[in-house]
Amino acid sequence: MTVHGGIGQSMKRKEDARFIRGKGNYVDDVKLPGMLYLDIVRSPYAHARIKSINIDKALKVPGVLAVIRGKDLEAANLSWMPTLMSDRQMVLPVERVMFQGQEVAAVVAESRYAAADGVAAVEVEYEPLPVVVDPRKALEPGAPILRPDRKEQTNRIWHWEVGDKKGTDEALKDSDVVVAEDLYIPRIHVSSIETCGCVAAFDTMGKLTVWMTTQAPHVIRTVFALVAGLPEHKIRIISPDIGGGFGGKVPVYPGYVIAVVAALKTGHPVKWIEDRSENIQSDSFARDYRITAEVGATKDGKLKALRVKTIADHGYTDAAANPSKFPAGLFHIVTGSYPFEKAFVEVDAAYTNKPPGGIAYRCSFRVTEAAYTIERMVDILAHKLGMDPAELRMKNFIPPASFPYKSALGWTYDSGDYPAALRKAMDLIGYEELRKEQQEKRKRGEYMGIGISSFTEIVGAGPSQTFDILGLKMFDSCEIRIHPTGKAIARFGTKSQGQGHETTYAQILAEELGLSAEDIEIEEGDTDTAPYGLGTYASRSTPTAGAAAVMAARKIREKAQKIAAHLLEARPDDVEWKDHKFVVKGSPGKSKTMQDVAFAAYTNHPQGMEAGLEAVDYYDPPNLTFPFGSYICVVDIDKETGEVKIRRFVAVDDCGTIINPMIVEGQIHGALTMGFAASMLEEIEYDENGNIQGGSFMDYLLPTAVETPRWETAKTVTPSPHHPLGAKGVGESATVGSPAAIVNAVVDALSPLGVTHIDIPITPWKVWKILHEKGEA
Amino acid sequence: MQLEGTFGLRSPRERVFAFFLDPKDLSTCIDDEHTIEVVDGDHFKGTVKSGVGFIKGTFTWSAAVVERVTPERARLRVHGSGMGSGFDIDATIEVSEAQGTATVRWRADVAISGPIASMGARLMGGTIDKKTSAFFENARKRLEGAAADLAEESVRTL
Amino acid sequence: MALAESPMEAEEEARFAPLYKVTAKVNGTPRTAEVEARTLLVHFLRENLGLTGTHIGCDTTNCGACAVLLDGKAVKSCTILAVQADGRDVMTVEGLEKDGKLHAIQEGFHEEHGLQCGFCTPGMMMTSVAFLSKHSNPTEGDIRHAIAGNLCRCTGYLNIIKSVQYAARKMRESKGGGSA
Repeated sequence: MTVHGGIGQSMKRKEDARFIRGKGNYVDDVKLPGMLYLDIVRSPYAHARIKSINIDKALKVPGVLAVIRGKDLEAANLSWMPTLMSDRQMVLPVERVMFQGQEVAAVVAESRYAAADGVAAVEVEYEPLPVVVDPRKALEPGAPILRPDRKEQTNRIWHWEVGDKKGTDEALKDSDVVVAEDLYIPRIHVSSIETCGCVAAFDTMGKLTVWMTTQAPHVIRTVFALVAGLPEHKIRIISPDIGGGFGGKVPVYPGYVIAVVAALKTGHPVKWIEDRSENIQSDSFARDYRITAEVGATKDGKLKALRVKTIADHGYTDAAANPSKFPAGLFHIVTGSYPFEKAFVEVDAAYTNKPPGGIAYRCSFRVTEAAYTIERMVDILAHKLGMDPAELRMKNFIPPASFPYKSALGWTYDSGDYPAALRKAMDLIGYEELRKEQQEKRKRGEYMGIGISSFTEIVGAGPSQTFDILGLKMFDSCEIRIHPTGKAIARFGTKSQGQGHETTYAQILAEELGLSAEDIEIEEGDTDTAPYGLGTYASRSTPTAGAAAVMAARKIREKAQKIAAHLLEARPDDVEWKDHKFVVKGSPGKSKTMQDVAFAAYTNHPQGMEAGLEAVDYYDPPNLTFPFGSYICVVDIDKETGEVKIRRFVAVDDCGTIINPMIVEGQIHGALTMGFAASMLEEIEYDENGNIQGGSFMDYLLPTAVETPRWETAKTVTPSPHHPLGAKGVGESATVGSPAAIVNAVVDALSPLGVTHIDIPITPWKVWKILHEKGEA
Repeated sequence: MQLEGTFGLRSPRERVFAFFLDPKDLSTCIDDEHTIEVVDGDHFKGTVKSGVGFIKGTFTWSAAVVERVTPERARLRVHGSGMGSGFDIDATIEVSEAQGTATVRWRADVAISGPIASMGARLMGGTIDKKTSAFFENARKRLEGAAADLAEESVRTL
Repeated sequence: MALAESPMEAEEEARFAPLYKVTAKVNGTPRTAEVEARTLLVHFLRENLGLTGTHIGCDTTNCGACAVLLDGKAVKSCTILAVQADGRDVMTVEGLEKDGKLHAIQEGFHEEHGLQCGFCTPGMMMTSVAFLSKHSNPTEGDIRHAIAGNLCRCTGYLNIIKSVQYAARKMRESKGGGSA
């Protein structure tokens, strides 16, 4: 029998029921008796000494109850706290502010409006200090030292390298052709439609409950316990419904800590919800990588060596949430879909007077940067050699027979079939026809481009030998309990922010337990009840918690089989799980369903066996998983205006076994749109005084339905050999793979003019300037 | 940002120099609603209602004459704050004279920080240009007008 | 020379700031609350009336998460004062379902997977409802322009467009088949 809502079914989402009725429970919907509001005074200066903070007028504002400053926190050893990368960040400063928008003081008041009035009345005197906004300048000798609190007096946070430096240098020297390019991936900000916030409340027994926009509630609980010295069992973090995370809701923002302090100080629940401007101007950014990449190849296009040097701008502290052994995240997936024998990567991270962060925008821990780099370089090489970019890729792909494949930079790719994905994309878009059309258009002086991106993703962090965040290993978990009447509840250590876990996890369990997905309740996000997990980001949920669900279900099946045997009056060895039922081998008529077993587990279990039917699994993945895909983008450029129109975009994705095709497609649409946004619309810039240019949705342009192209999606399925379902994770693939396809298309269009690269975002102004300089506009 | 300009005035050099260092005279050049208070010969302070686009509010400011070589050169530093923003102006003014016309060369380093500079970034350049032009245009009217008035007065007394 | 306003004067003003009694018909029911002159409609709905389905996503009137219907017209409630709604009709997402029956737009969003995190969804649906009340057979381009003032970060819009097309179809069918 097929179960209702099993794997592979495009089951409609269970969580929709509350959202379409406006009955979601987001943090700002939480209302507690006596709740107060927190608002934050922020620095106008990117770097300044605080001369004084005068709160007299603020305290007189009607409704204001308290004002918290750095010196108040210092007394509790809380004015600095650790970041997830073991650096330090300020909660509230005592001496200096380090970026524009940094928290300087906090006002607690009876209403949102009074808190804002209070903030306006706080008088801060600053002494501006020299500002450093360019990470290259920060790394120059003589640059002002931005972090005098660090042992080493330097703006270089760390240097990280991997690969064979000498071998790569030699291989490049030996190459017939070497192409080199500087690629700047500017700072962007994920701006999920819900901003960050929390409600912090202590009860009469001294237990702290914090409703918080967090993608990793257990990690937050442990960090709070370590930092605030509160016993961990007296802390409860609740991630309610979250309006989009994408990595932006992983870091511990000062506002959360200040709200907890305010709740303690006032004895009332305190709510803090940031404005959009605060969100853009102070919460974790992403990208800001200055990359120099070199690729060496033979003259007939065989890739030989890859050398990458990167300067990473981290803002004033390293608060990215990377696994601790990988400060540059998984950037060294940069060899991509190709079997480079020699590769070397080095990254230098720098402090600047900007907000901290680095990976908060659907990037799988810097894989966006890596995929962009390699797929741009492959196209640059193709154009240099006068070779078709599809042909160059096909010539070099890691062959399907080579998997599991160990890359020169240390990753073991689990499975892949890159030629099949590219071929499918080419067929769907009509590649050969398009190239013919391009030839014709070029003769007429029209600019049309075709760009390919054949990326390899790396998700599912991660195996305990190499992955941890602040020492917490990156397993994940599932705990299942089946009730007497054959319904179940399952709790997970992950936390959906829109990915549909209430549906997809139910589907996995429906398949593994023979129950209907409608009968399985999925819960996440309450640290009092959910098993410990590392949360949802970097597309890790299906690879880790999804696997934990399968393993826990199989533990239940083991016990259930014994109960079934008891009911069937057979020996356990003579019973098997077939077609979602327990069947006596050779006697298909003699079977019991999981519902039968569940009832028996409480009413008729074998003597000597414990009652009940439940299990928990903490899954330590043996490896990461490697989704992949091929995207092809077709653009037409308006010569008069420089406007780039995406005519077509075909995305072929392979994420292994697909649990819910509808949900996977939705994830890909959303991720493609973010990749498009990063390629053509979004950029966070600072002037020489460290002023953010814009900092609101008026200037920071999210795509609307008008600009967003009509995505065409398709799939290939290459299961992961080590995942119990063969599933790989897919939430970020399209943000990882799409920018290169778009940029490759634009550069391809302009290549007759000698253009080899344009940095994102590709705006009409940039394109028009190029056309104008070349005499075309 | 750095701003600079040069212009000529039909007014004696001494009068021009004195004008740009006299708080009461400077006040007549500022169109935005404001107050000026003299602290001493080289220091003054006050408030001003100003802004960029729709981001307008009241700023408190203080100014200090840090260099004074009468009647040829002076340097003024102004610091202002308000509305969660701050500004610092370091301005130099040089006055020379030739054949009855004073030539004023001015230069200003302007640093603006905070929401005014960030959210108002797109409008900042235009707004600063407008306010600077207005300031010097008002100065011109006062100085050339005053000279004309003086001439008129002197004619009347004759 | 007049003295500029100081915060002290603002404080005096605030202590005696008048409250206004606003009565609006919200989702068909007259609702009343006392608000300051500056209270935004979105806060009146969310905080005074406890209707938290309408969300706040930005502070520059760009995102549309706060869209509601004011006298049948889609407005961004973050940029309307509560006092402006006095004596008028307001419809929020909570008013879409009638007697346990979902509105066609709600059905459409569910059937076509037009939502993921759900945060932009109420505003997106209210804008769509206002649009569909004037356009019963819109093209894809019409729909894209209609929701240009509603930002979504999760879906990439394609399924939202399908959701609105679903609703349009359903509303046309029910009109054709008798009472709506």
